[in-house]
Amino acid sequence: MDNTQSTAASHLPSNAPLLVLDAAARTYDGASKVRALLPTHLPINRGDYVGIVGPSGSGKSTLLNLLGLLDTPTGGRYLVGGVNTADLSEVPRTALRGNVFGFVFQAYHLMSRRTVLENVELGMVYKGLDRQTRVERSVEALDRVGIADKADSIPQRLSGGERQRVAIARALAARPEVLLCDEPTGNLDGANSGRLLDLLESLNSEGLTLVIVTHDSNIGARPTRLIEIEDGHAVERR
Amino acid sequence: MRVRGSGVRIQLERLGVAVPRLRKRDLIADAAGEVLTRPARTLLTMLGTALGVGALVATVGIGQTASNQVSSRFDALRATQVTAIDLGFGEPLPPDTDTRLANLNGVVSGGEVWVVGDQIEVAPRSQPDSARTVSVLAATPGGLEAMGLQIHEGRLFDIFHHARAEHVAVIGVGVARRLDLARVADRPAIVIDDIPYTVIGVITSSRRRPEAVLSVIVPSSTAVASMPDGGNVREVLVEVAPGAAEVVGRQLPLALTPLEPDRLLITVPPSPENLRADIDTDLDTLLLILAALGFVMGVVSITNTTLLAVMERTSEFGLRRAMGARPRHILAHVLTEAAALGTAGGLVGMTLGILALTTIAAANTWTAVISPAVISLAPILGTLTGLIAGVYPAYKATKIEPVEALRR
Repeated sequence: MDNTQSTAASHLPSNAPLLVLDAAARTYDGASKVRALLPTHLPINRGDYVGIVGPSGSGKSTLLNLLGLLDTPTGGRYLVGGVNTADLSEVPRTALRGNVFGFVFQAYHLMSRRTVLENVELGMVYKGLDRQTRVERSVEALDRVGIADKADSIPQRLSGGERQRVAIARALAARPEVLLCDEPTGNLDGANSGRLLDLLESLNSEGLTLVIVTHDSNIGARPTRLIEIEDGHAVERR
Repeated sequence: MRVRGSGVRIQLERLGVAVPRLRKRDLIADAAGEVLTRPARTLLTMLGTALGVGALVATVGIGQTASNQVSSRFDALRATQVTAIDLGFGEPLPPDTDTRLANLNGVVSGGEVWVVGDQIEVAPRSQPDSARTVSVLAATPGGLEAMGLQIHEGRLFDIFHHARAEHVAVIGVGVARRLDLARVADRPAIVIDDIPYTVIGVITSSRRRPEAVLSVIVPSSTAVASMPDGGNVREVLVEVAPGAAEVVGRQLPLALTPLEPDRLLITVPPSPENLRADIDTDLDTLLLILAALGFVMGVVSITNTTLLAVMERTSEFGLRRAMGARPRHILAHVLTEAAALGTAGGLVGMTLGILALTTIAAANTWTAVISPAVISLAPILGTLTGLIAGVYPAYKATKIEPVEALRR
């Protein structure tokens, strides 16, 4: 049933920017209030390649979590496809997260005892897709990231670069609109980092919106748009 | 939750996204995958449940098997026998005891049988010097019949001998040999207290008084008259029809000593129903304790492991949430895994239980008996154990915040 659908979020209204942080801020309540992200205005359009850079603890991950609907702003608004996400209850919010966003993390977060194919399939399990469709899409995604021959391996036997490709394939197979990457090359050496970024950029050139959070200034040189964060204050540099 | 019901649908329509859903088949395959890819942990976790279910199956099985043995090896001899000890200290029972007993419904035969003395010198009349010490029993003709004697030679004494207190004796084949007596047809005699007794019969066995084979039996009237010092404890032996023991036992005091109903100490065999009920009651208690222990063990070990696994897999559950899993999907996932562990434990336990049962049955040459209901119940109990054990870890798993989980 979903076979005909090219991208999961294609139903979202296309006249507005895909994602808009409208004076969105995030404060953590606790013993002392922590203002992790000061009111930020950031529109992201379809096909953008956005880099978010800054030192550790500057608020990069907070920004990424807000963008990915993993966290809720405590001030301002966050619009996805023109819809204010603050109005969404748990189910539509989860549905939106699962359909619009794909996630890639520094630590890969793969199920270590399941095969690569099973790991990639996981991205589609909660869409209610049948097994055959999931396998087809998984093989396609693994092929796209260049490790189709590893489908039956278990992640423990793969190199760091290969594991991150499995994580990317897992995100891709679910056909997201936006790929959110949190330090995707954090555990990789220079050569592997370069190849992985090449892959991500080629996906971006095919229309995938790409947001990469990094503290590595070398990587920060590559995105077309660059947001720099320091002490919760986000500034668009490029 | 701000919006419910149709509001959710409207929101979803506006966004053009479908409700995240998880097919049952995927849920089960996912949980099974997790259980199967960690065989060592799975094995250890389900041990408690396996032992619990195994103990239950084995105990119920042994109960059923034993109960089956009770009915098949039921002691027919004891079940058709009622005895009474006369606490009247020498007071004679009514002279028509045999008739009174015979008039009771369910009595096959019955009368007095008592020990006159177990160390009495008896000599063959032909050789008065070669005396031997044997035991002497006294019996009424009914009592003699109730003893279930097998006659080797001659005959038993009867009402005629009894009424006339004749000096006759029936002796066991062992006594006949020891006294080196001639054949009954040659009318041998033995001497007790200088009184000769004609041996009219030799017996080879007694079903209800095996010691009779080594004894001399004289009519009780004769014993009372000629051996006044012997035997102050009188007994009544009654053979009854199957199933009549209890009723006869109740009626015996009224029939023999109606004025002193407490004079007789009645012994009736345990009824087969009571016997089986006794066994069942014993086993029920044991079974309950064993089963309860097993299930507590099962629940604790599954809760433990599942809780540990949830903590270990925090990032995985966070990732699942990020990829569109709803808290209820996480709940179902953890519960299914715990239930799978429980079910596996139930199945292994059932196998172990049946194995133990058949081993025990084989060692005792019994026929192993177990009802199919117990066998089919075993895995269900396992599943239930798993579900109960999974509730808390599953609840904890739903509380995992994806942001926290993915930061690891």
